[in-house]
Amino acid sequence: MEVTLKYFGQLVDVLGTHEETRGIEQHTSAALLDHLKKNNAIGHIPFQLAINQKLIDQDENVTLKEGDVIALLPPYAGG
Amino acid sequence: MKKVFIEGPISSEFIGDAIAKHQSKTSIGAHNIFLGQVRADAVDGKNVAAIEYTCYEELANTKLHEIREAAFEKFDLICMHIYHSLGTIKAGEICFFVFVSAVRRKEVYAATEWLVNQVKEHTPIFGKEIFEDETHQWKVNS
Repeated sequence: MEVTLKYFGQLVDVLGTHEETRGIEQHTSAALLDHLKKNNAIGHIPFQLAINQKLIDQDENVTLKEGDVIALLPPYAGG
Repeated sequence: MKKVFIEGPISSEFIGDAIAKHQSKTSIGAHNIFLGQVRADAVDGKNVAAIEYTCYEELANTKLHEIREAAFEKFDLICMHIYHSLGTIKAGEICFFVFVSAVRRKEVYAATEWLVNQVKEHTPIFGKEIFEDETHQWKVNS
């Protein structure tokens, strides 16, 4: 299914893009997170997911749908 | 939804105007202000020259709205304002402005500290620390 992936902070640096729409094979947030963490380029960077602007807890598993907007958020640094 | 994000540094004029706008609210007896300033941290012999701030604005605005609602529940406030810079802010410039007003002083001290901590912890803002030699590292709140 096609989803939009949004990247922030250090992830933009490493991946060279803010956003991409692409097909994924994973059907749950846990499976997608596991897949993303195995990506050599970003595997060393801590991040959490937000799906359609809702933060996903580490022990939470959410079913993904076509058209979801999935944000990868590295540690916050505001203030 | 109230506007929080400001492109560039927060000027002393902006802060002064924010104070002046409260002169008509005469039930207020105490204001408290927190200002965050970009610090020229030294890392491995290099100084931070600026921080470039970016954010996930849609999620940040949702989180800030929740923080604002929770602050009014938790503290007896008359009004509160939060502003945060985006873009490149040089060392010595102001990047974060929290302004809390109440009838008496006790509430504003507690509310300001709570708000500053909540914004730092829950708002998806990212900071790239740029050194004088144009190399950079990504800031992480401690």
